[in-house]
Amino acid sequence: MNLSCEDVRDLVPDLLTGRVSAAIAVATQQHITRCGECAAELEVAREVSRWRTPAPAGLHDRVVAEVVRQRPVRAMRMQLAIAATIALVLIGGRQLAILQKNRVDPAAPSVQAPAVENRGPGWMTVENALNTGAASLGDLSEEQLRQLLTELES
Amino acid sequence: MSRVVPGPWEDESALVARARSGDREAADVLVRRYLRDVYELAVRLLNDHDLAQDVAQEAFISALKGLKRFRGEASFRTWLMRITVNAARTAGRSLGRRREVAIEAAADIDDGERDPAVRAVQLNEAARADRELARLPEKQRLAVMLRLKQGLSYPEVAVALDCSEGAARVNYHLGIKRLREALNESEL
Repeated sequence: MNLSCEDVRDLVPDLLTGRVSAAIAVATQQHITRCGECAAELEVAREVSRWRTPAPAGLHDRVVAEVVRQRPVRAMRMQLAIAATIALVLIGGRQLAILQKNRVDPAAPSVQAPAVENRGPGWMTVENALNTGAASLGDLSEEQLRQLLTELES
Repeated sequence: MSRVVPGPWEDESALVARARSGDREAADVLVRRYLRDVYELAVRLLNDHDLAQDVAQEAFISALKGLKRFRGEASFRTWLMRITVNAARTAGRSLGRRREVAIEAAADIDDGERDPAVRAVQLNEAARADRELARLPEKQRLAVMLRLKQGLSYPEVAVALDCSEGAARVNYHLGIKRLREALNESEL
């Protein structure tokens, strides 16, 4: 494989970083052994690439700390957004359920418990009904049954 | 057939995907992997160690925050280099005139040479080349740096410097030509 000077000079950086295929590396080396100009260019490129400026000690930790410090703000915003979405879904779902219920039976009584009236001494409660010794509901008077029904519905 | 084989960055897209979803460990790996490149680029543009550290930090935060905008048309590394160049140029403008402060770089040479005398000569020559690199015009200096020190391809240099591939190629070759002349002169 024959490479021109232009080819070789374009490939010099890749040759130094080992990013050329074996066939290209061999062809480049063959060219350089017989071309002083390309050999000189390779030498300059090698000198430049040798010298690296390391990052100061502690810079990595400083950068990572700053990256982490700025992330919680974003994470908190995301959590608030998720919480707000869930709340909206729950509220919306409840409203939807109420609407559905009203649509099925608009005349249905309110979910709210009816006001219990006439409660006082002798008011028939479930507990009282069990304590009356009545064998069945049929043993209770009509008034007692009405009171018990009111109690159960409440 | 491609003449250039892939570099050691094949798993970068997976890391970027993890960092995008908030994985701190992935973000940490990306910082660790590219910190030297970012810092070196910033310090070469600004000639100021403190400001270069600020710019490096700003570049990483900007890149990691902006991952949603990263479409993967270039590598994350190339995109990060572009962000660094822009951040450094902005910071440099606030500095006013470019400071002429020598950057005390540390050699990072590990080419297997164990002879102290040979190694000393290598270090001396590398330091000389580095001083001449610092004197190149900005575009040439950056093109040479990104191509030689950081191993970017011409298309990647073009993305990092926001110029055409042809301009990246010309700036690199002009920079190398000037370096050769300067090094030959300083040898005389």
